[in-house]
Amino acid sequence: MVEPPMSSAETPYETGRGFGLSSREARVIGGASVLMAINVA
Amino acid sequence: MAVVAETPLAAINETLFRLPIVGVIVYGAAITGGELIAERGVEGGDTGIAVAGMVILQLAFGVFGAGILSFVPAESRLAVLGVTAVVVAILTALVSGYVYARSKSFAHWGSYATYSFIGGVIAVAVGTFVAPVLLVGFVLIFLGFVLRLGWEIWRLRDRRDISVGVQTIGVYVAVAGVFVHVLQLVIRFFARE
Repeated sequence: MVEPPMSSAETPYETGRGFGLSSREARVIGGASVLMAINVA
Repeated sequence: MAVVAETPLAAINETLFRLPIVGVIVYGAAITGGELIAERGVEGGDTGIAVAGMVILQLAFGVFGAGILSFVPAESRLAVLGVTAVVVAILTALVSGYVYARSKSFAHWGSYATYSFIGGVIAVAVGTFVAPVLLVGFVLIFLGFVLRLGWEIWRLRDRRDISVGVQTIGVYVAVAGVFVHVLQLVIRFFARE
């Protein structure tokens, strides 16, 4: 069964992940960092 | 920015900001338009449109930053960019730490950012004729980008239904907006020293 994507209202705020980043978060931060590096160069 | 600062494109700011409100409207339109186009391209799976939007964003921030950087002697530009990058990294870490440390929604920061941008544009419009008000415009637009960054970080934390591409563009625009404002502060600091 495919679960529908979570909205902000459904998302549990207590993720229990502490400060560890998910791969999704790491991809966004990495991508934004690359775009910034190109812009500053 | 560093490369564009060596080209005639760096002089565009001088023309655009002869009337400050004109510069703010032109760059504001380029950033808003570029982001919308890039997001549409990512959401629609159209690489060409996404790249076109990204080129507009890179040019808008690149030319604006280069114009600011052109006030600095060529041999000091790398140091100024380095200091700016460190300050922006610390500021981003502080905002991210604040958002991630609190188990609540930061959705309202998006609205606050919009109000701050609108207030900033109004202040720059007034400041075009009453120069001291320009400082209020700078502070409000800078604050708008910081709030927008917090909102983007919150979306990254809680809105896993939004695509990685769209969130990457959002975080990039917020950080770049903060960067060009910190760059101005760093240059003023160096000039005073």
